[in-house]
Amino acid sequence: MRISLIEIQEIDNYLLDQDPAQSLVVDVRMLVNPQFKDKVLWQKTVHELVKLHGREKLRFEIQLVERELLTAPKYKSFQERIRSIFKK
Amino acid sequence: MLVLEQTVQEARKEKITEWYKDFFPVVAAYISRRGGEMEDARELFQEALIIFYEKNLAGDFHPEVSAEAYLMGIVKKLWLKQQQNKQRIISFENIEISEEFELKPAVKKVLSFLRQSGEKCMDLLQSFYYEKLSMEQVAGRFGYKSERSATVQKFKCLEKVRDQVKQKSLSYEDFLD
Repeated sequence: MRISLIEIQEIDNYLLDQDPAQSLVVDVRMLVNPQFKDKVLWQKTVHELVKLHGREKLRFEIQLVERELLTAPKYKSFQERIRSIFKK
Repeated sequence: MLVLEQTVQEARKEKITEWYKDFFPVVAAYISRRGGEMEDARELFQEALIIFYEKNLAGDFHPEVSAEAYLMGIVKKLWLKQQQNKQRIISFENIEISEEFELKPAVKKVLSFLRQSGEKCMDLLQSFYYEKLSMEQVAGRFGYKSERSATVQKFKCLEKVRDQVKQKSLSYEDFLD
């Protein structure tokens, strides 16, 4: 792996708390090296965005299941049960 | 590898279907009794399932509470939140629901850009960081010959996305607020 990827891996271990022994080293590097700190913070942002992306994909999967349950003939009794709940 | 991947996705679909069939009628009745509509119930239940799924992945769901009681706790919280229209974190019965579920426009734009410019990378990253698949499963899903190749690709994707996010966020002032 090239050097920049090894650094990405080190930062990842830090963000995922996978190498507590190295955490202090990363903390110190962040204090003395603003560019490195910048990389850590942006990588953390990527983790958050990836989580949001995963969440949206999951939402899509849930919506597909929902559509099937609310429209497929084989779930007719389920659909009637739900419809009866909202019948005014 | 292909069988492994089908199992992961099919198992999730089965689980979601099971949760829907078992718990949605209870949630629908709860929302209906409080004057809510079908649309409210659907939206809240989707959000609740996402939270429930994430709690399961994180190991935060404790079996001493039934799945139904836990899901209903989340739904009640979301319903209250919707009614009170609060934008801050509400804590109730140790279940925290944060405002991160409501995406800021700038975050939506950056996410949309990342999907358009490299959906495969975003999908690969989310399979590890969000779905918590092992690198063996990630390799199988994305057709890499080994965990090692998939791991290297994961770090290449992280580097690429990190650079893109940094660059793109300069265009959106409120991205980091």
